[in-house]
Amino acid sequence: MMIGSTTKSLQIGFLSVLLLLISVSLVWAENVWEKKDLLKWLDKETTPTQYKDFESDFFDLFTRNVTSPVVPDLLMERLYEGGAKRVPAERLLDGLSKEKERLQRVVRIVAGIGYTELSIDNLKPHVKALSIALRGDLTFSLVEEILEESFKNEYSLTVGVSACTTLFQISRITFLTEKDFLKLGNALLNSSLPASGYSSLTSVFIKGRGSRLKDSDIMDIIVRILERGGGLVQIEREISRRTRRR
Amino acid sequence: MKKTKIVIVVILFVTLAPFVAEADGYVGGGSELTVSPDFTPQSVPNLFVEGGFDFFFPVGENWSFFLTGAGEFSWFPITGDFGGKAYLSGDATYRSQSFFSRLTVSSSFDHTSWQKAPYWYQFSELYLSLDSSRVSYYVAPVIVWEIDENIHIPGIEGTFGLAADIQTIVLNPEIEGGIHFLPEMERRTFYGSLIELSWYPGVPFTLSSSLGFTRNDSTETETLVQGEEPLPVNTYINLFFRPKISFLITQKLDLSFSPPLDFMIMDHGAIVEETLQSTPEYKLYFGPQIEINLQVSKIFSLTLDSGCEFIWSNSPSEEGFSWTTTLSGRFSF
Repeated sequence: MMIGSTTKSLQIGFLSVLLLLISVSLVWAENVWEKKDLLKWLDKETTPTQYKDFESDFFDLFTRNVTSPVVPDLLMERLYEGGAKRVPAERLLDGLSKEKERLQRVVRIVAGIGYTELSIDNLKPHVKALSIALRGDLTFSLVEEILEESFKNEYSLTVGVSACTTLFQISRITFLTEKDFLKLGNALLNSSLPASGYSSLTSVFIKGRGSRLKDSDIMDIIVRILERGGGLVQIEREISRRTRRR
Repeated sequence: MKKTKIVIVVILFVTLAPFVAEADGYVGGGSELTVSPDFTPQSVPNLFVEGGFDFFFPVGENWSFFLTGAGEFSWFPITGDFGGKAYLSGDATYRSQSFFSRLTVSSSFDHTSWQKAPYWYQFSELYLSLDSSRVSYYVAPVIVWEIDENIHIPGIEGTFGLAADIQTIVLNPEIEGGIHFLPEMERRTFYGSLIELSWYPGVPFTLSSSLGFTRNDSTETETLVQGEEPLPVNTYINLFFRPKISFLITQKLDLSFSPPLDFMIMDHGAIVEETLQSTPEYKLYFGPQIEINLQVSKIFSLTLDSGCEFIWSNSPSEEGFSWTTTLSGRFSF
C-alpha cells in the first residue's frame, strides 16, 4: 500500500517535472519577444545613448496594434541592425514603422490564404524572407497571387516563399514587368523543379544576358520549357543553342 | 493597283501580327583593332555594322517555329578592303512532356574582298531527345554542305549525348563524329568526346566549361617543306578546356571572362627553319577574353570585347600573339 502511494507520488512528480520542462522548452523554442529584450538592449553599452530618449516611441512601436508575435521578434532583428549601423533614432523609428507595416501585412496575407497552422518559429523565416522581397521590386498583390497558387497546389509555405524569393532575386538583375514575374512564378510553381532548384534560374538569366539574349526572351524560354514539364537541363540546352546562333 | 497592294499588306500584317508579337531585331556597329607582340597595330582598324532579327511563332500547345537571321558588313578604311557575312536559319519544334524534336535548316555566307570566292555553309539537323525533368538523352544527325573556294564538300555528322541536372549543376557528356567528302575521293573524318559542366548557383553568377578532345583525320596532303614528301594536313588531335564565367556587377552591367586553352598535336613533323623535324608539331593556344556589357537602356546596349591570343609551337612560324578589342553598340527592339 505504502509502496503503491510512493510510486504514484513519484509518477506525479515525474510528470510535473516533464510538463514544466516541456513548457520551458516551448517558450524557449518559440523565442517570443518580451519587453525586457528591448529594455536590455537599450541599456547595453554598445547601444547609441540617443536611443534612450526615444524609449517610449520604441515601446509603442513594439507593443501597439501588434497582430502577431512574429512581428516584434523580427522588428528586434532590424533594430539590432540599425543600432549597429548607428542610424539616427528618428530615421530608425521611421524605418521600423514601415517594416512593421510590411510584416503585419505579410502575416495577414499568409494567414488569409490559409497557411494558418504554423508555429511562430516556422512562420518567422518565411515572413522575414517575404518582407525582404517586398523591400525590392515585388508588390504585395504579386506575392499574394504567388502564395495563393502555391496553396492551391497544396504546397507548403516554404515552396511559395522560395518562388517569391527567386522572383525577387531575378527582379534585382532584370528589366521584367510584374506581369512577367507572375507568369514566371506560376510556371515555377506548376513545374517539376524542386523548390531548392528555383534560385538556379537567377544564374540562368546571367548566362542568357552574357549571350546577348533579351530578358523577355530568356523568360519565354524558361516558361515554355517549364510548362512542358522540362527542367534546368532543357533550359540550359536551349539557352546554349540560342547562344550559338549569335 | 496601288490600293490592292496596300490592302494585301494590311491583311498580311493583321494575320501575322499575333505570331510576330515576339519578334526581336537588333542593329549595331563598332570597330576592331588588332595589336601584334611589339604593340604596334598589326591590322588596320575596321568599322562594321551588323543587324539581325529573330521571329518566334508558337503554334498551339506543342509546336513552335523560329526564324533567325543576321548580317555583318566590315570596312577597312585604310586598305579599302571589305568583308561581309550573313546567315539565315529556321526551325520547327515539337515539344511534349517527354519527347522533343526539332528540325533546323540553316545557311551562312562569309566573304572578304581578299578571298577568291565566298564561303558557304548549309546545315540541316534533326535533333531528337527523350526528356525527364532532370535528364535528357539526345541524338542529332546532321547533313552539311560546304562550298569553300568553289569546292563542294558534303558531309554527314552526328552527336549523341546526355544532359543531367545534379542540384545546381548540369553535366553534359557528349560524343560526336562525322565524315566530309572532298573531290577526287578525298575524305575528312572526325570524332571526339567532351563533357560540359554548367553551374547555376542561384546567385548572380554562372560558370560553364567544357573539356574534351577531337581527332581529325584527312586523306589530303600538301607539300609543306620544299623538296620533302607531301605531308598529311588537317590531321591532328585537339585537346581543349574552355571555361567561362559570367557575373553581374550591377543590374545594367555584366561581365564575362573566358580563358580557353587548346592543345593541338599534328601528326606530321615540326617545321623548324624550313626543315622537317621528326617530332610531331604541337601548338598551344591560350586566348583569354573579357566582355563587358552595359545595358544603357531597355533597347540599347554597349559591349566592350577585348581578348588576347597566345600561340606557342615547336614550329616557330606558327607562334604568335595578337590582341583585339571591339567596341560595339546594339539596339534591340
